[in-house]
Amino acid sequence: MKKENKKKATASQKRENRQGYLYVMPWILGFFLFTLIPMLFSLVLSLCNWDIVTGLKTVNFVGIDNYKNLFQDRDFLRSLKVTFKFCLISIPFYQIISLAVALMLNMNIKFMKTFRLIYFLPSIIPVIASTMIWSQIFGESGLLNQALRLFKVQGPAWLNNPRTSLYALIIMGVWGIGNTMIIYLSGLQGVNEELKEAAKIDGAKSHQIFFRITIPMISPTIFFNVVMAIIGSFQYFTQAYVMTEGGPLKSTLFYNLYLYIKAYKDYEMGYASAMAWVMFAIIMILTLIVIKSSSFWVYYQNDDKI
Amino acid sequence: MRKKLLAIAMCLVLVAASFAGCSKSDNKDATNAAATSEPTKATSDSDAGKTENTGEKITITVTKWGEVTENDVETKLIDEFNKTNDKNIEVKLDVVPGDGYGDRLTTSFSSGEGYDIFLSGEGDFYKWVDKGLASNLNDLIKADSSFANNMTESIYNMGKINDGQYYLVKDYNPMCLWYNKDMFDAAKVEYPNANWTWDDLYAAAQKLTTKNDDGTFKTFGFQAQSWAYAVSCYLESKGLSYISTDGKTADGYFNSPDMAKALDWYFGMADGETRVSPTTADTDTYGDGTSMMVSGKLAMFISGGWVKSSLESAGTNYGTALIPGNHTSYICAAGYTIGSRCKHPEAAWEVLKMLTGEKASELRTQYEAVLPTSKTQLDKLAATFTDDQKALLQTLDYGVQPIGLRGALGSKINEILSNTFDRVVFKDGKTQDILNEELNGIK
Repeated sequence: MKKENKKKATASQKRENRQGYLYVMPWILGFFLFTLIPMLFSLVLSLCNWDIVTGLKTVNFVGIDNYKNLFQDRDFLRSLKVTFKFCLISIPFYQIISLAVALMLNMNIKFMKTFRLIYFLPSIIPVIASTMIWSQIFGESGLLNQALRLFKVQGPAWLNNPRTSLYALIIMGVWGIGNTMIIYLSGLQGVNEELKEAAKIDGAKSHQIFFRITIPMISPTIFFNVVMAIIGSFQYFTQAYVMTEGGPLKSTLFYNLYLYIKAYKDYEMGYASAMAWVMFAIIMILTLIVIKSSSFWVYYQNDDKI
Repeated sequence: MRKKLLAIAMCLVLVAASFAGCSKSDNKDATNAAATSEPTKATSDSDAGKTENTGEKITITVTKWGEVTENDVETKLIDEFNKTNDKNIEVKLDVVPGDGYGDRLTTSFSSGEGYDIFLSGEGDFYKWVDKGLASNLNDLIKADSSFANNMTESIYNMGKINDGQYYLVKDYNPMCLWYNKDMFDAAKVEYPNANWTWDDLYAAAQKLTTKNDDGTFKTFGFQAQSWAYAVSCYLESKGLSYISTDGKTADGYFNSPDMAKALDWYFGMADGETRVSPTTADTDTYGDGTSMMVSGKLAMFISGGWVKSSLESAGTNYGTALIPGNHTSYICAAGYTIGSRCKHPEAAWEVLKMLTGEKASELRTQYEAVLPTSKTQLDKLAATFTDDQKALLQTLDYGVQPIGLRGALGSKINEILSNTFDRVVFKDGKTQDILNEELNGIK
């Protein structure tokens, strides 16, 4: 009797499994058709020359030539430089600002929910729409320069000047910190109040509480946000494509934008695929570095229990 | 049980839906699945190929950009052609609206078929020939004794690449000097004339540039824009050339000291407090050349024939003049060609003639307000132009193909022009060094 029961359970288990697979089938198919197969295809393509308009018949195997040529391409190196510069400045900048805003939104004052909503609002505005608004703001007689004029400062034509264009894009990015901020906020809410109170009773000042308790307690959140920010910065595209098209003087020629130009303006699909894989490698290495370093600075509460 | 059946059914529907996009390609080249989300007209073409021998219809596919309106000239021409032609040809027109045309054309090529006849802007003329996607029409022209070419010579020659006639131009815009007569009158400056040199233009521009009391600019005399076509018109009208006459070398031409000097002079017009031209940042504030001229902020600029309708609809009192110097002017054009994968070139040739012939030219002048390609139509139109407008048509005598159409080297030079001029504008080094560096980059 017992045995039979067991058998029955396995049969129904199997049925359930089949059912489960059927349910996830649409996703699996989508994953294969639109992600995995194209990815593998691009890996093969990165070893070939392929002009997209002349059709698949003209695919030529060239080995690692595409990868070799990349590092002799002035514009490729420039796009790397632009993207790294953007990462180095924008990642710490955005993290500090989002954390600061999250701290403010974590205070117990009236209408807090409304404030949270207002601060999050910009990040649900479509990027293209906000980009259009910011193009106006950054004009030579745009809002920003009009505001500066009140302080007797003549601002540059932000987007039309190779020295300021990248910084303009970085400033604009603050507009979209909503998601990062929300994650920090939830991290802050998970910080144990008892710890802070205990510290206060022991005479700790508020900055000591912040750096000794809050920061270590939310370090997993910081870790997550930093990794996401690295990936996000390397994939930066829309704003540069819409606002500056990489200019002026290629000062905003981001990696992804250059990849797009190679693929869809110059039709060099093999070259663009090689770029995509180099980008993948760079993101992977940077992420690995952050993950490896995390054991020195990320603190997980659960670790204590082990 | 019923629930389970329902679940399975739903999954099947989803699976079927995700395959639906690919099913069209199954009977064709399976590797092209990615590109077939767009229905390629060429399928009907290959069907026609099989049935041609039995005396059935030959289908010719045509594509162009634009919106289909009531008075769409192509639709009118093709409707009539389909009814009246005795060669059993059926033309199918595919109009792609807005900015999607380039992508659509590319996708149709990459899926392996492409259109029988497609429209291209002159900026892409060389590219399609270089990639082997446009047909050389020389043999078809030679074999056709009935082909009566009534096009203005410089317009017909626009379609030539390396001695092959690849395109027949549908409409075009020559570039000339546009000026705001009211501003000239107010500043008591004589209108530009055919004897002007570039120094004369600069002298006039200085008089036409004025400032407000607070030191900001009120009006500008001339727009020294960094748009490659405008700069090229300036350089070539001064007798300078990017490449040698045989088209084999750019060394000593593109990077000659004269070239560097001329560029410094030109962009100097838009630099500093004594400038006579708006900078790029100024045009961000006041709008492009046309809008600035309409609002009385700009007295002169070089641009194409498309400016005419904007100035007229805004009621601007404008005139046109030949470009100073030797008057060399670039022509912008759109032309049709037969795709190199077309299976019925003779039939396509008949269609191409119909799309660019006398009747087409007449209809386009009537409905699209473009300049006619045909000499007869052009003469008719010229009679309706005032003396101040005629320079726009006279400039055709000095019209040349833009540099990008002049062979492989010209096409390469064309690709670096924008960046070169931007670097000069932003003073990214000495002009001579910039020219040398950019030229080395394409060697």
